[in-house]
Amino acid sequence: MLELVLGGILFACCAYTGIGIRSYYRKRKEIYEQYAGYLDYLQEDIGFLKTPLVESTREYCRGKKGEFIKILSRYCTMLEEGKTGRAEFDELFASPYVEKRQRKEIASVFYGLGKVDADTQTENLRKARAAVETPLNFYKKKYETTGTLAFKLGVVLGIAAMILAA
Amino acid sequence: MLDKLLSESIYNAVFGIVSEEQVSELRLRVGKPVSYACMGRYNVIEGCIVTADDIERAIGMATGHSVYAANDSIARGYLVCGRGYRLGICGEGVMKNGSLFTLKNVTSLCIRLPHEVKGCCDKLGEVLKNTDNTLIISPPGLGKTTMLRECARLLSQDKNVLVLDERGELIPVDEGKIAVETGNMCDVACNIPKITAYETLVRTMRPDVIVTDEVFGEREVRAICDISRCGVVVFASLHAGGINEVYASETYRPLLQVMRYFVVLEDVGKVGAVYDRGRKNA
Repeated sequence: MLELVLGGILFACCAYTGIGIRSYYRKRKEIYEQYAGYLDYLQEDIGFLKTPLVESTREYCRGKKGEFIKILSRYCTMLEEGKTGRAEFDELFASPYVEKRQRKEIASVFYGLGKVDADTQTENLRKARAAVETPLNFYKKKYETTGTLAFKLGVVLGIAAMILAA
Repeated sequence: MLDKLLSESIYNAVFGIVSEEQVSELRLRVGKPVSYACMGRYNVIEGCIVTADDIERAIGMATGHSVYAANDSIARGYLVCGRGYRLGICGEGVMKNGSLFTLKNVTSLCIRLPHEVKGCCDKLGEVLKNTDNTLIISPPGLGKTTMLRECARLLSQDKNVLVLDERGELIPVDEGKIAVETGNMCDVACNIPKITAYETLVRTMRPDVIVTDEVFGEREVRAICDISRCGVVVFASLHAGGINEVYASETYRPLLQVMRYFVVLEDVGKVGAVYDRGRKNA
């Protein structure tokens, strides 16, 4: 009986680790997907409608969930409170799901938002959108390969541990 | 709004001394101390030096951190935010296709704070009772806009008043709501060029009275003359030292033909004289 319980615990631990690793890669992928989606949305909203940034960002966030949406929500609060120093922007992207070398890059994009005319802003957004394509594809692939592999390995290892324990 | 527009140090330095109701204007110049106007007099707060970040913050807050949405206004040298705070902007012009496209490296801001002063039209009893074309005249900063705002409030109790507020400071509208007290019959067209508003809204809104601020240039004078010929009463203001300057100006002289009352301000909120068709009344 004890072996069975131990086997069950080992299986749960291994499977949970696998799920955790997959979830980590999923969140990384999601952040870049939502970031790319946000840049697309802004290009249209600013280029044609000239909607103010906070209004546009809140509209983009409506009904969405995820790490990036939380960042955007904090970003809106920052703007409303007038906390727009460079340091605040750097801190905004200090997320474990954004790679360190890319944090500054994304922070720079956000720091530059709303500071120029519509044409220049749309052009800057287009460039930022093009730049996000590489990490987005990288993390999509990473999720499909490493993330899925980690999940499968976790389950298989869990089953093996359970059998051994039993 | 002002507490967000200004950095904490500037806000505390100014409004630690005076209340918002007492201040009519704030001046922010990079590298210089903050100054404010109180009862028509400027006061400098030594030691409270304005930085480029202070200016950037104010512009950011005034535009909702969306310069692209307010660039047309910036190119015209001002921004309006909240309940009618007007930021006059001075900086380096950027030209595009031969016309001013935007301003960069902003070095100075002149923030004007709107006020509602009930009773400031007490001396205009006859003018308001007769409701005929009226021109309020004074140099900048003596309270023409405040007086027009009060005229609009009083007249719109029983007349259809259309306020043409090109710069959004006469009757400020904040997020779709009129931010100052008006009568029940007041319509506000804000941020629309006067000429466009004259051409369209006079027909569509059918006002009894039009209230508009700072008449400027020949086209606006001509439009006012046309409107008054249509039977709509116009209450307007003009930057001038006195009625003689209006006589002397070829551009503004046509107003003398159509305006009945000329209200000349001599000090902040103080009516110096009221002319009825050129005859001094008070």
